[in-house]
Amino acid sequence: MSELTPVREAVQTLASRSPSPDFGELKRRATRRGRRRVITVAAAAVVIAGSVPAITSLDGDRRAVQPAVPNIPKADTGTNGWIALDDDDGIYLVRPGQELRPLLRAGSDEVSELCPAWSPDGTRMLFTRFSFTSESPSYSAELVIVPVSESGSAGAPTAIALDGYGVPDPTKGWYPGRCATWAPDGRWVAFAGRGEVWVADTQTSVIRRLPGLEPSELAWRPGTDELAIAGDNGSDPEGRSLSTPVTMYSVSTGEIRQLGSVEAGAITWSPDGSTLAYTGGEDDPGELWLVDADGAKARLLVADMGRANHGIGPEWSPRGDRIAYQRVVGGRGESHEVVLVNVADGTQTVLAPPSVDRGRKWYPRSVSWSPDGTTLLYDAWYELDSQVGDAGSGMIVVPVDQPSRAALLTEGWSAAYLSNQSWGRQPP
Amino acid sequence: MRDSEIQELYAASYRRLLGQLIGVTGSVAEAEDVVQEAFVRGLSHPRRLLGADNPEAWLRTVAVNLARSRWRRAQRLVGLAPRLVEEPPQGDTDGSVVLLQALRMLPAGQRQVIALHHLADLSVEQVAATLGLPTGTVKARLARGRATLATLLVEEGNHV
Repeated sequence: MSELTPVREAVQTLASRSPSPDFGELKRRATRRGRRRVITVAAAAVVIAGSVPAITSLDGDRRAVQPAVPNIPKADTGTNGWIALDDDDGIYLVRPGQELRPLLRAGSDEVSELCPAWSPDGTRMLFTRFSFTSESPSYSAELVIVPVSESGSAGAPTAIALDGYGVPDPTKGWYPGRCATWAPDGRWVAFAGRGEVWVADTQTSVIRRLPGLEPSELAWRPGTDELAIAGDNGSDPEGRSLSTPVTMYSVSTGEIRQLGSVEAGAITWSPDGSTLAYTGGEDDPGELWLVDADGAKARLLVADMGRANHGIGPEWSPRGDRIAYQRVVGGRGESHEVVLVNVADGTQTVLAPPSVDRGRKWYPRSVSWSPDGTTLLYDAWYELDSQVGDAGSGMIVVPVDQPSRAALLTEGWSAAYLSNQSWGRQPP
Repeated sequence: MRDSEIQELYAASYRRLLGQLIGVTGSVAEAEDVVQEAFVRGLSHPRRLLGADNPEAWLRTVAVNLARSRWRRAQRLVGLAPRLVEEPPQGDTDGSVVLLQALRMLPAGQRQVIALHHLADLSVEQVAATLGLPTGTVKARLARGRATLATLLVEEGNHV
C-alpha cells in the first residue's frame, strides 16, 4: 500500500459526498455567458451620492478630509527600467536580456507579498503584504513602500497598516482593482478593498475610505490629484465587471462627483490627462469611447472591439498616440490578441499572438506598456499542439512596431492580473 | 447531440475529476468550482472539448489551470493559513477532512504535482506538460511533497 493511498481514498470519499450539480444548470450557465447584463445605473448613483459624507480616516475621526497641496510633476514618457513581478516567496525584478533577480524575500511562509507597483519617478516600489498571525489567528495586511536604487537594490522599507482591510474571499477571486496604484504626485496611492476604495497617503500613513464602491478599475488622472473610479465587480464569483457611472475623487478637496454621464467598466487616461478612454462592462457591446476630462464630448473611437474574457482594459500608450486593448481570437474562449488603435483616426493594428521561444504561440492574459511606449509586457500563456488549454505561462515583451522581435522574459510565471505600473521607469 | 455527449462525459467523469481537483486545490469547494467551470467551458466550446484526443484530460487541464491562474493569489493566501481551513464537520469519523487538511498544508506547487501524479495517475512527463514545468522540477517537487506529506500525515494521525 502506497503512503498516498489514504490521501487517494480521502479525496475519493470527499468527492463522493459532494452532490453533483444538475447538468441543466451547467448548460444554463454556459448559455448565460453571452448575455448582456442590466446596468443598475440608478442604484449606483444612490450609492455614490451616499458615500460623500461618509469618508472616514483610519484614525477613527469622522471629519472633513484635510486638503493637501498637490505637487504633481508633469507627465512624460520615461526610459524603461525594471519590471517588477511577485511570486510565492517575494518580489522579483527583471529586465529584457537579464536574469530574474529577487528584490525582497518574504522571509516566511506565513507572509505573501503581492501587486508590486512602481512610483511615477521609478525610485520606489509599493506592494501589499499579507501576514498570517498565528496568535489570532487571522490575516493582517499592510502597504509596503521600499526605495529601489537604479541597480535594483532595495533600501529600508516602510509599512502602512491596513487595519480592517480584510482578506479576499478565495471563492470570489481577485481582480485588478485590488492592486494599489500610485497617484501622479508619487505620494498618494489608491486600491480597492471589499466594498470600498482606499486612498492612502504614503507620507503620513493617513488612509481615507470611500464606501459603497467595488470597482473594476481605478485610474489617476495624469497631472492632477483626481482618481477616476469605474465599474463594479460586485460579489460575482466570476468577477465579471459591470458598467457604472464613472466617479471622480479629488484628494485635495475630498469632493466626489460623477464624470458627466459616462458609464464604464474599464478606463484609461491619456498621458496628458485631457481625455478618458473607456469601455463598458465585460458583457456590454465592445465599443471604445473617448470623452473630455470634464465629461463632455463623448465620441466613439472603435465601434466593434470584439470580446475579451479577462485582463486589463484598454491601456493608453505613454506616448499618447495609441491605445492597446485585448480581444478574443476567432471566438476561442481564452485566446486573446492585442489590438493597437491609432487615437487620431481610429485605425487599428492587430498584434497576433507572437511566436516566441521554440515557436510556441503566446496568448496574453494582460498587457502593460513600457514607460517609453515602445513595448508591451504580456503576462501570457502558451498552448501545446498536443493539448488544448493553458500549457504553460510566462512573461514576454513585444516591441509594438516590430512584434516579430517579441522575446521571452521569464517562463513559468503568471501575474494573474498585471499592474499597469509593473514596468518602472529608470530613475532620473 | 453534442450536449448529450457532454452529459455522458459529465456522468462518467465528474466525480473522478472532482477528487483529483480536491487534491490539486486542497479544498472541496474550490474543486467543485473549477470542475464545474471546466464543464461550462466545454459546453460553451463543444467542438474543442469533444474534438480533443482525451476530453476528460481536456477538462482536467482546464480545471487545473483555472485553479492555478484564476484564483492563484487567493489560493496563495489560503495556503498561508492552516488554522483557517475548513474544520472537520461533526460526524467526520473516517478522517477524510483531516487528511485533506494535511494535503492543504503542502506548498501549492508540491500539492499540484502530488495530486496529478498520485491521484490523477499522470506520468511525470504529463504532469510537466500540464503545469508547464520541467520534468526535473516535477520530480523534485514530488520527492519533497511526499516527504512533507508523510510528516504531516504522521502528525495528523496523532491528532485523529
